[in-house]
Amino acid sequence: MGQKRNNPLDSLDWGDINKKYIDALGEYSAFNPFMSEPKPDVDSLLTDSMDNWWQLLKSGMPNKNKEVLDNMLTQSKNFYLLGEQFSKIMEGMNKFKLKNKKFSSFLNDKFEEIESFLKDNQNNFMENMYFDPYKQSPEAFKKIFSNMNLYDFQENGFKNIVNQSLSSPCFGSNRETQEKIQESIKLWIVYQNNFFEYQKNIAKLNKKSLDLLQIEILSMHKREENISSMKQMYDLWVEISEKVYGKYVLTNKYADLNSRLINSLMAYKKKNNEIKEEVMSSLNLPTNKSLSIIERRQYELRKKNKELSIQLKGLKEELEKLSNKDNSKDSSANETQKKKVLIGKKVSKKVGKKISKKKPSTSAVKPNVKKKASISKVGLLNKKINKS
Amino acid sequence: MIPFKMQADNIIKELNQFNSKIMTGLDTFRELDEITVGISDKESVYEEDNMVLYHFKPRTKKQNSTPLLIVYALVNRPYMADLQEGRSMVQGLLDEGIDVYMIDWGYPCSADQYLTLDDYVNGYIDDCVNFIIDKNKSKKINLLGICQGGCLSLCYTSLHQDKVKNLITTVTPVDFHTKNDILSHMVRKVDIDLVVDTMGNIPGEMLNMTFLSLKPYALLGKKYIDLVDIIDDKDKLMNFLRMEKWIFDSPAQAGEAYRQFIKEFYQQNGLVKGTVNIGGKNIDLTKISIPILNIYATHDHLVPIDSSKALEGCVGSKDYNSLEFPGGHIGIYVSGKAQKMIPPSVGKWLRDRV
Repeated sequence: MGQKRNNPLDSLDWGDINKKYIDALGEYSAFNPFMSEPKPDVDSLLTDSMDNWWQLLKSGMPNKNKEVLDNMLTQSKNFYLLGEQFSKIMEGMNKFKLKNKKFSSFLNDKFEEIESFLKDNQNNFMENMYFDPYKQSPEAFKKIFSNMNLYDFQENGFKNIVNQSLSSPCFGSNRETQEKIQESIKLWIVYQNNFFEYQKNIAKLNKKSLDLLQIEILSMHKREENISSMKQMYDLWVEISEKVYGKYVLTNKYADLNSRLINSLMAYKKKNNEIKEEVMSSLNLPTNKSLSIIERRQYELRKKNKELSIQLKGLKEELEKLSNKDNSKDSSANETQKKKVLIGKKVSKKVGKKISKKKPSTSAVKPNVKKKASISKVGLLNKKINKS
Repeated sequence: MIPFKMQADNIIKELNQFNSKIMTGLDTFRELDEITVGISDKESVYEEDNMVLYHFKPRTKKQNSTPLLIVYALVNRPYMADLQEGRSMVQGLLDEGIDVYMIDWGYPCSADQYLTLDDYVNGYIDDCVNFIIDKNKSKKINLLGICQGGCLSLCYTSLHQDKVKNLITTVTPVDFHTKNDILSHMVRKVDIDLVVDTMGNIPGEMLNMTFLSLKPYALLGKKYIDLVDIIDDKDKLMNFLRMEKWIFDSPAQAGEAYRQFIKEFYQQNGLVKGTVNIGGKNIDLTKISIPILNIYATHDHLVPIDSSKALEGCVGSKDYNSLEFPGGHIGIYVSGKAQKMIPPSVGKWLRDRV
């Protein structure tokens, strides 16, 4: 057959060329007159242009969908950041021969670079990825202490400065208020320390997921499977991160850490509430505590009211039953009474007839005896009727 | 073989396409209509405080003689079971000839912070059951509980079995101390008394973040990246936003009910142990002898499958049945697959036990 032609690009590092293409694109962005500083990274080119576009259009967006779009754009920035990092893997790929050992050590070096990027406190990757919903508290505090970098907590710098300020003699309108405010700030420091420890542990998970990602890529290499797009890489990274995270949250260590974080936040909040209540009550404003008391009483009254309604309903039903019974007794009593009257009439007719047939006697005694006998018969009849 | 089949220009092209999709998607967002949820016709038939009992308009000429009451969880909103056309479990049940009622718990305010589980189970649910029985002149009802609503239904049935004919539980946690229960693990050592004493009612946002933190990379990150792929399709975007609306539409939890639920169910695992006390009586699941259908999802990250399956060993019913759905906690109500499986199975099961 024909001779095998040599590819003129065989001697070149294809990965290097690709990386240079990306870098050139980044350098081109340095000529952008709207950017204050030249930024050679592609991710910053894309994120900056997206940011500029979003700032222009944000105000015209319907409010109800702004939050979803914000979330989508925040995560897109992360996607670009990851894209930039993963694209570095291509640099120098052609230089070695395809033996597992050399490829794995090459991959190791590249992943170490990615790891150092994720550890770098100057980028917002972890904040955007995981802590975006939680960063409102730190951002609020940033406004108060604008010269401080929140990561100064690592060196106990902020803790030392705050402790120093707490030891100053006056910190409130009176001694008790001062003590309470000091206690509150101490509780806040405990919470911040717990939060920092939480962040640190979550950040450690990133390293673990990168290690697993590396292993997965090597096994894909053995299985002859491909990663053909940045989205595929991103999805794989998410899948592995979820597995690592899922395993970690089932440990006792996490349960302890999570509970300490929540409990310390609640303790701080409770203390703050007490201080607020004191201030409000001194200003004669209704406090949450007094409202809670009212609500408690209202709840108990409502419950009692319901119980009484049920009792009342039951009593009404009983009463109805009883009145129905009485009605039926009355009707039978009426019937009985009617019978008595009828019988009485019959008897009196009979007696009347007997009396009229008899001769009038001269003796005063005899008629009386006879009358008594007739009366006693009627009386007997009545008794019988009553008994029946 | 190197596993990376990416070239620099393709990567840039991909990222550019991603960027331009976001930008063109803005037009789709602008054209969206109001996000409506809840498609089946219903009317409010009974109200008590914030709670509303809805009766759905029948869709068939003849209905099952025993009405079905759906008891939803206290977290999130019940319109998830009636989300949209083609994704409504309620509609499916109505098509099966079931006479459906559903409790909407509403949005608790600070005045409700002292409501206990006794108020919910022996109060609201019992009142709804009595209302339905009186209205339909039937002696009993069928009960269907969703998630935490399933727990409440189990408690209710244990205490008022004379009023319940058949019981259906869906993705209901029973054993709260199974190995893979992340949510249970997270709250195990939290001082719930401190939380409730500090907060009163537990804000919906706090519950949201707890649920999202079960799978943060997928639910806080990947979900919004995947959104870019559908951003130009109005229908798919509406479906996404409907789910998004439901996810973030979380009512607060009444403080005392929350305290009792977390302590007695999650921390002490009282439902399986028989130590949950409602209205002065312990909930004994072994007393439940009526027919039970237990439906659970195999890929449920909120309620692990083992947690639901544990019901079989706890009840005294001799007519216990289970149905396994190959999906997730929410998919069991909103996925197309679920509509073909769940309502017909429930309909048939109830018809066999008229």
